[in-house]
Amino acid sequence: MKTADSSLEERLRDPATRRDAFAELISKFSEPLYWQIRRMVQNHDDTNDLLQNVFMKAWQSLDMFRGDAKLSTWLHKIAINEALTHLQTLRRRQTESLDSEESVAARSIESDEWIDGDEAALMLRRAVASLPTKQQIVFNMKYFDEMKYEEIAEITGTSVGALKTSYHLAVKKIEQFLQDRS
Amino acid sequence: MSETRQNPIFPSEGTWPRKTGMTVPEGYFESFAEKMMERIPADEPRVVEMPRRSIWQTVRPYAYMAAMFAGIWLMMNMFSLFVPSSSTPSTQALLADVTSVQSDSYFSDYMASVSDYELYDDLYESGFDVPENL
Repeated sequence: MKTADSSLEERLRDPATRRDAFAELISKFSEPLYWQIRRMVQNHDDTNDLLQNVFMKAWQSLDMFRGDAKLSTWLHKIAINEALTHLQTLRRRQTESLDSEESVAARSIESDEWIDGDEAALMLRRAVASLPTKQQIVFNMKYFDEMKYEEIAEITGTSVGALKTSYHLAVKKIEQFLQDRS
Repeated sequence: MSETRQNPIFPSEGTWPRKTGMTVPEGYFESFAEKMMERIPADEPRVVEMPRRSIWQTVRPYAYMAAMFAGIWLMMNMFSLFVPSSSTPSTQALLADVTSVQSDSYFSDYMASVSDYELYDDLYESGFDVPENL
């Protein structure tokens, strides 16, 4: 019995059905990928641009997708790479303008207009943004998306043991961050 | 996103609303796919046929190489044109000089014009001891 993903993959490979299948792929994955990117870059406008880049790159490299990994894993990898490249560019600009490292993440959060006003959630965002990038990615996938370690390992190319350590450290640091500010 | 589950950060509090606190413009996800598909090119962009190479495109690298060698040859010839001809004696002239040095008349003509004094003076200048009995 074919899974929904494998059926979608087959239609993506067929030039006759590729375009319609890609529209379906966008509808299916735009929301999880959006939140994946948004939690990394914080800002809606940047996330919107990056999400479009992700799907453009996916469309242009569809032939390179061999089906060894799941479609979702492949798309998450592209999304993380896009977000990381964006953050590196921001950091480079920040270094050039001699700002402090923390100010970029903090500024992105404070300048974000699309928030619901929940103070606890805002504090958690600040705490997550204070983590090293890798720990942020692991924490977001585990805490918010409730992904299995095996799934995260496939996307990030890291061992399950290292991911568990990374998540544990992230939780401890967030806990400390919130306690210091309570 | 707003479900309430066991809180790994503050276990004593039991639960934690896993809200991100972030929102999106109304209808954002509903309209995203449609907007995105408008950006996707309608034709098939990945099948790129290589255009046929013209004769000139095939010959061009060889023509450029030939032109380069011709340029080097010309440069070398131009250089030899600027060098004065007197400073570059011909092979025949050099051969004539060598022949004259080997002949007896050359030595007798040349040696006759050098006096003993000039010879000793030259040897003295170049650090040669003149024997006492001379």
